Amino acid sequence: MRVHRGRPGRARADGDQRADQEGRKALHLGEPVRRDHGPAYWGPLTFHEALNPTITSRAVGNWLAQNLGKKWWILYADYAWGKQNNAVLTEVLKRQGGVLLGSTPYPLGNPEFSAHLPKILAAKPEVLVTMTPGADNIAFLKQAISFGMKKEMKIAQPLHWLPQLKEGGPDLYADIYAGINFSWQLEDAIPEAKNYVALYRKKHNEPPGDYSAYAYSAIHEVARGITLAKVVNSDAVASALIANPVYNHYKGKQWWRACDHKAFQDLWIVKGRERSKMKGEWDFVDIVQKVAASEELDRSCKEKGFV
Amino acid sequence: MAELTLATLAAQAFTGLVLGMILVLLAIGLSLIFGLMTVVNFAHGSLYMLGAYLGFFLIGHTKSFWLALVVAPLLVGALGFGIERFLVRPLYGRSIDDPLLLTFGLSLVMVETVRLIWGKIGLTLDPPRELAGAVNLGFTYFPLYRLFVIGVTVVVLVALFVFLEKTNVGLIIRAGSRDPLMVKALGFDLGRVWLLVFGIGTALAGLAGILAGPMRGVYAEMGVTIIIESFVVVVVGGMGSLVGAIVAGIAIGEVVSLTTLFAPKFAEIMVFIVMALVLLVRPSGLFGESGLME
Repeated sequence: MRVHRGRPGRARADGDQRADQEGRKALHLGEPVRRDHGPAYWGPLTFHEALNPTITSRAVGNWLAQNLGKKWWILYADYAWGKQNNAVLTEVLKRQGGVLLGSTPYPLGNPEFSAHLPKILAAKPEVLVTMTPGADNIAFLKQAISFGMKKEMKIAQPLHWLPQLKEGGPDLYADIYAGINFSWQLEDAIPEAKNYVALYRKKHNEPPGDYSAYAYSAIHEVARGITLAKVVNSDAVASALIANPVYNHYKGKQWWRACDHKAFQDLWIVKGRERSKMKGEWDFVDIVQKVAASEELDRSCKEKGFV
Repeated sequence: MAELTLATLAAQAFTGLVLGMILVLLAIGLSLIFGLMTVVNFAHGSLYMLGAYLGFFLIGHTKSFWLALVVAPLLVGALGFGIERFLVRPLYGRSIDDPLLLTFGLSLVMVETVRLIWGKIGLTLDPPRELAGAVNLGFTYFPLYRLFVIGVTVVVLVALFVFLEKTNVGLIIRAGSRDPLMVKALGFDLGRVWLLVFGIGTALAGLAGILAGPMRGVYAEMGVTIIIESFVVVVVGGMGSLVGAIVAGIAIGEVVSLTTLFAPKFAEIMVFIVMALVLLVRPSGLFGESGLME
């Protein structure tokens, strides 16, 4: 039995279904490659542990509109992830009866945002939602703050990532809202989180981040599937997981949806914490609210093209 | 959509000016090295990145942005001396492609070395307290630090002009670029002149790097995109023309900024459209001399 992780492309999804020379098929536990992840990028052995742009942006977008304001500007990296989030957020705002003042794409990897900022300032949005991944996010926040935008509007992003919070630090991320699939502070409220964080700290001497949590959960699912199937075989493990879809490895109940093997899970709205309020070097966020797992946050199986 | 007012237009134009000045600072070093030595220095972007990393290192150890602002470019310039003396000099007299390939390879080595030393995750460099915050320009609030960058660029340009036009060393450099054989015949050591020019050019890249760090963040790949834009500026201005680098840098900054206001999707491609149009009308660039690349 082989196990893959990461984002499955179409070739990988097809290839996973074929046995290798030793007769083994690969079970794939990863993250969706695109929002409209449909049958073309999927096979019976493909499982999606991570959140996807539809779920994240629907959850975060609804919360932003209901709590921070309904006049938005969206700035997004002009590639798949940015475009998908932009589309979902636009849809969410429309449903919430809000006003989209502007939506600006920028080329991914370009660290200069100053040309975008004057017109956003002039439009006076209540919320600026940005999809500026990786190093772009640090550059964007530095420039936005230097233009005084933090004082003029709320800034939000679909996701915070712990390594990036560490890189940018609290001076950049204080008061920036986002969603997150896992934050180590949940150890105070969830027993499984406490156990996971303790194990991770023991091994790495620092708290776990978001994607390591996905990997931890996924590998436990493989082990659970093997235990349930009582055989080390990808087809049998996949069938066993779908027959027993509910699991809980690190943050509360999760489950697999039968039609597309998508994992449904809680996520949290967090807000960057000020430096003076941090308790330790990794205490970057305040957990503002839990968004409970719901299949309604994702597109339905019918919408995705699964029969 | 937001209402288009005169104030918005003015703010956008001013932002374009600042963008242009950053490009000028980087392009001027490239142009200086090419114009006087006919070396296309592909390592310029990595030297820019190195300036930012050395700035981070020095600020961490001395707690002084101002000291780092002076020392980091000097260290990058010293590295430039070494690159010219031991790597580029043996290639003089050979095809223009040879130093280009050498510096391209060198840029990859520098990026990997920085990743090994400082890691793959980027670093954060803050502007000094004195330059934090924004000032009211009447039509918009603008970051004080960006105004400082304009000031530094202007000072560097003036100093460079005075050095090249009003000093004896500048005279020898200019003469060496026009007729190296005659300068040698007059008893001047041209090797030392090229060493100095390469050192100044690379120090300017280092200066641009440490100045850009507090605005854009510090990461190993930070020189990759900007080197392309800088080459566009040099080509549009005319290979080797310092005046051309200044005019083209500001023009490209304005093109990016104003296109972003009206059609952000096209801001990046407009830079190349402008370059293509300029080359169609003037194949040597706005202020370039023909034959330099031959």
